[in-house]
Amino acid sequence: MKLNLGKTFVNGILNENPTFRLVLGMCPTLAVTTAAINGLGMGAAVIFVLTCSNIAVSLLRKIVPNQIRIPCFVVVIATFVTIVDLIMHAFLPDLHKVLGIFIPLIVVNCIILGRAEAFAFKNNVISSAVDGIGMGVGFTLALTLIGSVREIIGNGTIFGLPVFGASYSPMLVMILPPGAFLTLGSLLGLLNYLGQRRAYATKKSA
Amino acid sequence: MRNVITLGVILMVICAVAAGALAATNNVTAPIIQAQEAQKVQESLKEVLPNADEFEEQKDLQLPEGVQSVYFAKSGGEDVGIIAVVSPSGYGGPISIMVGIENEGKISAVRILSHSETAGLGAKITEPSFYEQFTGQSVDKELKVSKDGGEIDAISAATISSRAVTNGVNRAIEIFNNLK
Amino acid sequence: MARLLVIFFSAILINNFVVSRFLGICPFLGVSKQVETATGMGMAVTFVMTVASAICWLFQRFLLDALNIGFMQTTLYILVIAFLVQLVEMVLQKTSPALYQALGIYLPLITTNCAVLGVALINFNEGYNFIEAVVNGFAAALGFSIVIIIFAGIRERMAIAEIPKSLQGFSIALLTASLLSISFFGFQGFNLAKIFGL
Repeated sequence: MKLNLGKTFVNGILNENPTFRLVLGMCPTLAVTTAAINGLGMGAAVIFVLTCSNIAVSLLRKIVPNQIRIPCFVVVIATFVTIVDLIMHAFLPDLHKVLGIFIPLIVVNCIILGRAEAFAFKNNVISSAVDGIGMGVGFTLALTLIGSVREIIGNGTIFGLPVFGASYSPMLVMILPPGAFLTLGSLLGLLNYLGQRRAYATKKSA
Repeated sequence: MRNVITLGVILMVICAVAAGALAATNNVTAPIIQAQEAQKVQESLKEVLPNADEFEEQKDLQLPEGVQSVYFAKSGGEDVGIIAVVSPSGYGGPISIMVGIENEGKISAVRILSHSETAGLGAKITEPSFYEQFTGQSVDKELKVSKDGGEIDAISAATISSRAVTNGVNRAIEIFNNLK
Repeated sequence: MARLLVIFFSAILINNFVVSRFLGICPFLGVSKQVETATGMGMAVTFVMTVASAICWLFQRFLLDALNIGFMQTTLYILVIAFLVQLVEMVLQKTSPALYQALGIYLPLITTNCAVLGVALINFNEGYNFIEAVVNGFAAALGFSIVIIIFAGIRERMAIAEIPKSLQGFSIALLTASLLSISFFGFQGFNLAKIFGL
């Protein structure tokens, strides 16, 4: 049981990383990653919603009949999203302003509905919670990575701290919309390349 | 038929619980959000006219287009200047700017409240090195960017944004001169 | 009228939903392998987004604002959209089997297309009136369709090109989208208000 929970957790971060492996939830991934801190903030919101909705869906799975499960999921998810939206607006107004409509749009993030349907509706509360946290952390790490790359190259800073010194002139395109596609496309290519090299190496040694 | 009713009831119950949870959260957060927005306005007002301690929004003035609001600033009950919030259109959309003008006819400070200029270029209007240029300028003449023969150094590669802010400040100056 | 033209062209060119606002990326990457399917998706989205803009506006005005329950906005909008998509599917199936054949498979996907919910929220945030909201919804969807069809055209050609193994799939698609985004970036700074004499 313990081993399984660990596996479920790591699964969301590595094997089924929502961004790099499943390529889900692309809209916020591209839109808010102009800086590392924004990626982290978005990720935190998604961790909260994903974990809570997974728990709620798992609790409801015996009560809710199959035919109306999707509308029920949507209502549950929308409720948690609005809670995050209101709390962020009250306590983190600056981040709330930067993330803008992408907070309410967490509702239609395919990761969340996908996990409710594929995992939480079939598993117990504890595994569902762990799955939610694992997936959320995987998403957060991916967003923070993309945000860091874009911020370092496009603005010469990371989490607002300068890295290259004053003489560096930033490549603006990276924090503009085209840079989002460019960064994610290159990162995916790089991961594929590393994966293929490892596969090749194992084949050779075997 | 019975089945449909059961389904409907379950869905209704879930919706009701959801609405209740949201109403509760909203009850807690709404006053915080309101207070914090009001505080933000007060802080910006204080920042653009530091020697005033009281700001009265003038709600029944006829404001020209591009001017959002006008405040009279007072210190110890005496008029010390005005603050205008203007919104000229920049490169990416309207820019909201707060301009403080002292009664002696000098700009005390300019702050950018919100904008949608290009990150890294036009967005540099929010940096002190740009907006501090307005501090201390006189209201006797129209301000211009250096390219147009004025005293404000435009941000390189963002002349449109720089010009927009300058135009906005000129709007505020106009209002000040009209109110005198 | 000039204001409507500004909203219309700005939604298509300057604030294009896909390449500049990043809304509707999932169908943009998922349903863009062939021009034909991309066109179908574009038509389905255009239809739903225009109607959703209108209906969400009415719900906002006569339910949320009237009862002062703005905090139910996200929940209500998504339910309205989900219901609307179902309704469109049923009506199409009954009245126009040909159109249903063409669009049917895309309709269920539209509920989770963030462009639909996105446009409803943007209409609210911008404070558009009813007609402006409908125009914005239609134009944004048109912009989505144009971009997804162009992109599908490029991907059809790319399918027969030789691409390094590690870049195949989503990677090359995203890099291509980046170039598309750069070309649309050229429209930034078009002073539409001036062009239409506003």
